[in-house]
Amino acid sequence: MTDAARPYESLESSLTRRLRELGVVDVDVVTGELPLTPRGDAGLQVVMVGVSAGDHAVRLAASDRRVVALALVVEPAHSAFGIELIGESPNTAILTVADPRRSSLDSALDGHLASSHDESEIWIGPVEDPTLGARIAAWLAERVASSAVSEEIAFGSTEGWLLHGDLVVARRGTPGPAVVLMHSARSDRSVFGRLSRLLAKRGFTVLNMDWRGRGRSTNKGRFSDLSDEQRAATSDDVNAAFDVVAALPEVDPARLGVLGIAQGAGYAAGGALGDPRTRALVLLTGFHAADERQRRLLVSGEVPVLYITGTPHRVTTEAMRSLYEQTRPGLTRFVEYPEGVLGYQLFDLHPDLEPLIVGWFAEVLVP
Amino acid sequence: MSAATRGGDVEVELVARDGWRLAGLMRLPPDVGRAPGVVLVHGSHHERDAFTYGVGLPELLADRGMASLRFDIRGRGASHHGHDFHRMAALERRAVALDVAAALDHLASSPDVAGDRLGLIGEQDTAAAVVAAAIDPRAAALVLLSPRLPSSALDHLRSRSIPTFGLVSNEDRESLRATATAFLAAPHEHRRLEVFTGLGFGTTMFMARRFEQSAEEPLEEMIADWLAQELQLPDRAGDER
Repeated sequence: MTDAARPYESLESSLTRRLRELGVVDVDVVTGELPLTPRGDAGLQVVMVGVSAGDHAVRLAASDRRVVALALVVEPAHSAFGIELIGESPNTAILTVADPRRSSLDSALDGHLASSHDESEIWIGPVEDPTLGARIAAWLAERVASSAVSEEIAFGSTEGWLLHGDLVVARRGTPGPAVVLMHSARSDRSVFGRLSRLLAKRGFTVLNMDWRGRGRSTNKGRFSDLSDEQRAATSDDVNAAFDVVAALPEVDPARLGVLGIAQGAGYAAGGALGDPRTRALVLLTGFHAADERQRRLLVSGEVPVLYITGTPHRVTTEAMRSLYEQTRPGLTRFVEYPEGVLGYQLFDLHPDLEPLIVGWFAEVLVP
Repeated sequence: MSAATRGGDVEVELVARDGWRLAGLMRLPPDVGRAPGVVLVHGSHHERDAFTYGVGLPELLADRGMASLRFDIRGRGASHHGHDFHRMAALERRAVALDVAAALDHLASSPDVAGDRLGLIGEQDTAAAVVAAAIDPRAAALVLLSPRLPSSALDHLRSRSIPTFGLVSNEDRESLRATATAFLAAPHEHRRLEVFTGLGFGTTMFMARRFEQSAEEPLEEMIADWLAQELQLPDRAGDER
């Protein structure tokens, strides 16, 4: 193991030096004995040991929810168990650095492909590269910094509902656009993890909330126990969320967008179409216009709409296509996938859908 | 539990082996007597009410003489306790298997339930925890809705093979592969696999079926009938190996 660790000495010193320069205050380089144990305090632990260190680092990350980034350098040598844990760790971005001259390239690739985090990367190149340590340090520091931008907030809506959500505020020179996310009736804000991250990265302020009766927003009961009449007022939650983001100095209150899934799409349209601040509306699967007034507003083209549906959902697809075809040419779009799955489940089958949505919001809301 | 509580939901609190408290709802069939019981486990984006939109699986099970217990898994709904499932690390999430075990214990210890004729229903990403809990000798039937199963789950299935019913929609290739692999890994005479078209994943298939394929048999009915058949025939229940 001593022989295996020796080539990394210069990498180790340049990596830790650069991390400290980048402001990562707590750097601990472990080159000692296995197995490793998680440390009690927050901070960044840099693990650089020889054979099978990759699996140990992966296990460490899989036991500790604070680990947001992991760099596996040169010889991760994953076991099947390690690869399985990578697949089950969607909140940890993994950087794999593999040397093409080593037999561990294969296992490094398997580990990389198992990660579902969209910021996971693989770099393939010689370990002797003198810039490698600094580049890994920059990657780790950026992940640690960008992971802390969302805060949980609570705000009031009509009828005494207290709503909870994750707010990411875009820090930019001038007030910018904001997007509100409305999940489906059986889920909650947990379905928008990746979409929120991608929107924030693109410079949007994002409010991803649990609307009334779902997730953490159950101070007046569960949505499934509400009467139809009580449920209908859920569209008010969109306006309440708009009030929250519009009051932020970082947000231009005339450039608000909302996205909704299935029943959440109905509430999104219900709340947003009557609100003059609405400039963009994304409706994902399971939506059809509630009444003639809503249909007229949708086809007027005044608020651009992105319709997304799956062909086997015939009722929804026909309703959306007909609305789209009646709308005057402009920024309104219609996207149809061949699978009959609900809203966020399409994200699972089509990793390009969330970037497509972000791109459309940017086209409509960013001049 | 007295006969007075039959026919409605009773709130119960389950405590997992590591101390996590879980909010459950139990429903007994109208007839007095020891009934088979079924544990309903939702996927990580859902809550226990995933099984009760529309007609409601607990009601259909009760109609066929079966008790049921559904609950919010750790980090979801009323079992949140400030620790969100989606912020947990991978190994913390795997402890959902302890939640399922606590639900099995609760059902088995009820005087109204036949503790050796228990069924399990799991969906999507928590199906692996359900499969892990199914090594319990009291588990006699397993329903998997769009399961995502890591290879460790296959080891559990191999160690104890019980009647299993898989329901998958054809666009969900990963679940289809997982179910087929599971069936091949652990052969059993009582195997059933239904592959649908255009229904999506997990319990949302229930709604899509009712809305888009209303002339076809609802999935809840299909599941309730299968469980009635597997759990109410004592000679068929349990480990056949």
